[in-house]
Amino acid sequence: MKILRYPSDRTATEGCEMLRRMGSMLVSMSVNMALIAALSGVCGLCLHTVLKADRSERSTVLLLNSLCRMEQQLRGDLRRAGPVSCTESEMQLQPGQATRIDWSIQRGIVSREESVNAQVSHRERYVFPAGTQVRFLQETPQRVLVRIQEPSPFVRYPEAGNGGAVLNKPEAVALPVIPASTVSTGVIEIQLVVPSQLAGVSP
Amino acid sequence: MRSVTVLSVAGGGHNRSRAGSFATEMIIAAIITGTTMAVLVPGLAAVGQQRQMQKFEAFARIELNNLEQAGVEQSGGTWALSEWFHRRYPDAELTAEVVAMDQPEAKLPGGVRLQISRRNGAGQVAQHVSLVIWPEVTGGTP
Repeated sequence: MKILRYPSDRTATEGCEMLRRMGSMLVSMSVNMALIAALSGVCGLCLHTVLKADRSERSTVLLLNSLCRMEQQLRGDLRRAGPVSCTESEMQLQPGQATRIDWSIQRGIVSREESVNAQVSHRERYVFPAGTQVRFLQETPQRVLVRIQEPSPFVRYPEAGNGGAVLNKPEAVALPVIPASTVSTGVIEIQLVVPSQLAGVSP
Repeated sequence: MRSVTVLSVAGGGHNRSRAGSFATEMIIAAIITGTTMAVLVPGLAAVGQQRQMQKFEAFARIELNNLEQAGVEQSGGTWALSEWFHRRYPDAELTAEVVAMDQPEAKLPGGVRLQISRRNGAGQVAQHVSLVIWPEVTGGTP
């Protein structure tokens, strides 16, 4: 039996054997690389899905949290305030002679200011996810509707998230047009009714 | 006689062992991928369903408060879900039932229990959100 110590010791048959080995090494490397690529792809896909789910979850939590707080505050204000004057983006309530409550909407941020003797005593902000549209609609003098339109899942809004971070951006960037062919977005309506004992009071 | 038999056999054995390791690697990769998918897909589906349930609960509460205000104003009208809520949850049902006070000797008027229910799909627990509206009593002492 011959012991091969140096390359020069190899014969032609042994050279062929080595060439065959080199081919198998190429195949093995290709298979390894394919496996690594497949595993990396799956990991990347998983990570992307988890991050997307997290972003969606944060957006939902922000919407529900702001919505519930705002609804409670609006009903409380309407319970103690009489006459209402409102436009699509502003609403004024006057619970007392010296007290005044102003609600205003600016690109997904609803602000409330309560002032006593023209001095602001309370100020609250309800921040909704980017793309949310809030409007006040006065149906009758005693009935106000607050319509909240959720952001479209088919439109990509600025990464900044909530409406507060897009105040300095153009309207087309902050609130992109929703394609007409897509499914209409969800609407939430809060109906506010002035109590009957307050309905006849003039400001 | 030159003999390369040992080398040849040794090489063949190595190739066979490599082929075996390819199969092993592929099986391990498939197991890892399968396990990841088996954990991730139901987990994400459950998170999404939980989110939908939270939304339903919050929106149903808003709708019940809307109905309460409308009921207080109309006093005695029929109860029906608003258009926006019906459009969002077509399978939701509203039920209204009269509830009485625990102390009949008090002779207080009964309230109305409004309940919005919705089935979450086959094999899932139905969701119920309810609100009891008590009529306002005037002239009594608290």
